[in-house]
Amino acid sequence: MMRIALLSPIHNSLYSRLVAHLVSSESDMQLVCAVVRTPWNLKRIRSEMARDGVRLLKKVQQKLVLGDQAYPQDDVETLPALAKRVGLIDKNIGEICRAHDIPCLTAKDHNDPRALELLKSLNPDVIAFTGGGLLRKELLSIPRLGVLNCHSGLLPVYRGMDVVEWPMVEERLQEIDVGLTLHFMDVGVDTGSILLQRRVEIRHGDTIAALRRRMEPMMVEVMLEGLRGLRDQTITPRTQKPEDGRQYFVMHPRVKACAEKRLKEFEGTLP
Amino acid sequence: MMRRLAALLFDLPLRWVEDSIPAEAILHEALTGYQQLIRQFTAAPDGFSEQAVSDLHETAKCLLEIGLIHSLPVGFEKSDQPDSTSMVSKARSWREALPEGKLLVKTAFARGCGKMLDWLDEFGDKADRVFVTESLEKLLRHVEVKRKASLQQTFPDQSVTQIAVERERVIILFCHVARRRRDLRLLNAVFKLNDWSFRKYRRATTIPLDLRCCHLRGLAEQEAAAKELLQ
Repeated sequence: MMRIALLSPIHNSLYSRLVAHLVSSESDMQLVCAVVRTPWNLKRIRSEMARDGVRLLKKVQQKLVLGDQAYPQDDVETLPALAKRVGLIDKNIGEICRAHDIPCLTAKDHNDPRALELLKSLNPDVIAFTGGGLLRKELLSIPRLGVLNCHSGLLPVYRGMDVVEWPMVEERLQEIDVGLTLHFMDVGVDTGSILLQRRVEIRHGDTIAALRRRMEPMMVEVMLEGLRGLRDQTITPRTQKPEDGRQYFVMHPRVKACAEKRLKEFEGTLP
Repeated sequence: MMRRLAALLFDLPLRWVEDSIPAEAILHEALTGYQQLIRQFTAAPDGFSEQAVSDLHETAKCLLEIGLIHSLPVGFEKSDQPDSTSMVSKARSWREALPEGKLLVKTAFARGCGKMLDWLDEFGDKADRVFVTESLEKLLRHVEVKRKASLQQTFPDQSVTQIAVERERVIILFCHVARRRRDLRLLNAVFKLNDWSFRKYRRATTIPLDLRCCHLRGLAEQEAAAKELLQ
C-alpha cells in the first residue's frame, strides 16, 4: 500500500481535490493526510503580490470568487468537466479528508513545524504537491520516494514560471512543444528527476488561456499516472543536468502579448 | 449570478493597479526627454560629461532605429571606433578584482558590472562569454527575485545617484545581450526594471544630468530591443 500525503494551496483547489479524490479511489494507494495553506495570511498575500503583482487579483477573481464559473460550461476538457466525470462532489479538501477519516491540517505555510511534525509522524512514501509555494529541504526529505510536482512545461529546457508561454515567444513550438512534466522536487527550481512527460497539441483557434485550461485536467491525469508508476515500480526517474535548461520568470504583459501573437502565427502553419 | 457580480468588482481595481507602463508612454518619455536634452546640449555642450554625451548619442541611434527621429543631430553622425582591446583588458582586470569572483554579495551588485560585462560579451573571447553567461543568470535571478528592491546597492558603496546610474547600465547591458543572444528573458526583466522606476523619474523635479541621459538611454535601448525582438 503506497502512502501518499497531499499538499494544497487552498481548501477549494479543484486540482488538489481531484488528486485527493482519485488517490482515495485507487487500489493499493492510501491518502494519509492533507496539508492546506490558509490564503488569509498577510505574509502569504505580500509574497504572492510581490511575485505575481496584479495577476494575483486575477487569480483570486478566477479561483476564489468565480470558481467553476470561470470555465466555459460546454467545454469538456476542463477541470470541472473532469470532476463531473469522476464523480467528485466534495467542495473542499477538508470534506474529502473527513469522508476518509484522515487528518487535514490548515497551516500558514507547508514548511510550518506543525505540518512537518504531522508529515513525519505519518511517514508517507510520496507527497503529491498541488501548489502553495516553495518547499524547504526538511520537508522535501520526509517522504521515502520524494515530493512529486506536475510542472506546466517540458523540462529540462523550460524551468520556472510561465513556461507555457515562453516557448511561443522564443518561437520554438516546432521543436519543443508545450507540455507537462511530472518530476520529483529538489531544492533547485524544477531541477529534480523526471518521471513522465506529456506533450500537448496546439489546435486551430487556441489561445493561451484555452491551452492552459486544457492542460489542467491533464495535470491530474499525469499526477495519477506517476503515482501508479511508482506504486507498480514501472517508472524510472531520470536526472536532469543543470546545464540542460534555463530558468524562466513571470512574463511581462508586453512579452505575453507577443506570445499570444506568435501562437496565432504558429496556428496558421498547422495543417 | 452573484459570483459573476463579485468577479466584476475585481475588474475595476485590476485596471487601476496595473503597474506595467504602456509602450506609448515609454516612447513619449524617451523622445521628449531626448529632445529636451539635445536643446540643452546645443545651448551649453560644456555642461555635459563625456559619458553623458555618449549616452545621448546612443539614445539618438536607438530613436532613429525605432523611427521616432529621422536623422542624427549634427556632430552625432559618426561614432568613434571603440578601442576593443583596451576595453577587454579593463573588463578582465575588473573581473579579476571581484572579491572571490563574486558579482553579487548579499544584495549588493558589483560596481561597473553593466559596462564591463557588456564589453566582455561584445569584444571578449569564449571564456569571457562563459563568465558573462554565468553572471547574467545571477543578475537576472537577483532582479526577478528581489524585484523593486533589486539593484539598489553596489559594492563598493557609492552615492545614491551613482547607484542609480549603475542600475541603468545593467538595463542597457540586458538590452544589448538580449539582442546579441536573442535572450528574451533579459528584455522581459528590462520591461519590469523600467516600469518600476518610470513614475519615480517622471515625478522627480531635479535629476542629475548624467543620470537623466543614462535613464533615457535605458528607455530608448528597451524600445529598440523590443522592436527587434518582439515584432
